[in-house]
Amino acid sequence: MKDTKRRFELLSFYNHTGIERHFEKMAREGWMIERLSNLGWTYRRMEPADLKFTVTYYPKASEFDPNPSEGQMTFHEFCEHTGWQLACTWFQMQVFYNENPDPIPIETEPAMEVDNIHKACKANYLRSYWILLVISAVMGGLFLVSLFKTREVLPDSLLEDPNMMVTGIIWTILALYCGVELFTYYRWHSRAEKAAEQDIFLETPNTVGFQKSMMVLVTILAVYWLASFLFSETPEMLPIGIAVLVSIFGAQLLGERLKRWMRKKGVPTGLNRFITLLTVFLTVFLATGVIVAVGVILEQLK
Amino acid sequence: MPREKFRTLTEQMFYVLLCLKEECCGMDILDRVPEMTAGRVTVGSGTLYNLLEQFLEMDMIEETKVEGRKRSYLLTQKGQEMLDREYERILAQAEDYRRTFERGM
Repeated sequence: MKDTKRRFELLSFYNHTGIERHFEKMAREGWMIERLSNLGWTYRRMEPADLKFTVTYYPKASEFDPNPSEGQMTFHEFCEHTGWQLACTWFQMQVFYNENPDPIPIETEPAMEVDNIHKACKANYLRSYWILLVISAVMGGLFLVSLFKTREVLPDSLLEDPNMMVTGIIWTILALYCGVELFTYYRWHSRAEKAAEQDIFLETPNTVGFQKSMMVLVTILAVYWLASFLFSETPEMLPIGIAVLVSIFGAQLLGERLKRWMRKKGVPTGLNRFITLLTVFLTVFLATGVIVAVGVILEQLK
Repeated sequence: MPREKFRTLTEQMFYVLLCLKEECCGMDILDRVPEMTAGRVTVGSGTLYNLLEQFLEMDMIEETKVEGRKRSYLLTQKGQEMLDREYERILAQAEDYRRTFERGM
């Protein structure tokens, strides 16, 4: 029996209510969260236990910090003083658990909690989604405009070029996904601020259902895209297509490993961030370029 | 409309400042507040950490001692004035309550 397992969880970064409930459920089933990353959440086997989890946020933390800052360690010690053990951290997110069934909560002032979450989200989550929304809205918009211009639901040109169709639809889906995430966050934030004025904690919303449906749609499109190569005049391009996807995933994995290695070596935050992002960008750029060049050469040799 | 920061103090803010009438470190405040209030008021560890940061920023408290990561704080004149103001507000509320219910006697 394996002692660890990795899962991809569709829980938004700020959805602390959903994340806490999920970790408590996993603990009852005998799994303790060990590490959070963009490539999945890793759980470690343990004796099933009824633990209380709290997900809180330390806005000044960074995923590229070589060590927790003095302030962050003081924060952890304060939490430990009331029985909260640190399970793991991820960007500004700090995950604690407590064996006491009725512990003093880490956050006891709603206004302060909402403010903290917003500061943490502004540091990373919101910025990333806004950038992605702008890029995908432009790309998706161009695709929809080109559809509109032909006045056909599925123009022949798109049917002949599944690449263009699938890419266009995926950009549109990505824009929709980012838009829904941002809208849901800002709506919760506005309501949570009002509730905090009445000293009420407002639970964070769940978009798991919406995210799952987007994942299913993207998976269907990816399968269609790959299958289209088999029935095209150039089936030998299928390995090229797969290689592009693998290289994108590989770049993410390389970036994650490199970031963790630099953290262990004590590389300063700014330098770690710069090298990691540059490495990921260059890897994707070069790998895609090489793969496409190989594809073109193979095509010409035919 | 959001409450102006520290225009009125919540119970937790009030008792944290009260603890700092004498020099005290953060973790001791976590124990003293429930002691002072017979368990009626508790301050979350995360909330206390953020309150201390904000009180420092607003010059309501000052750092008096640093021993490794253990930091001690003390109420400043400004912090004392805010506590006094809150105390007067609570007294005025209690007086309004007393007058309202004694009128019926």
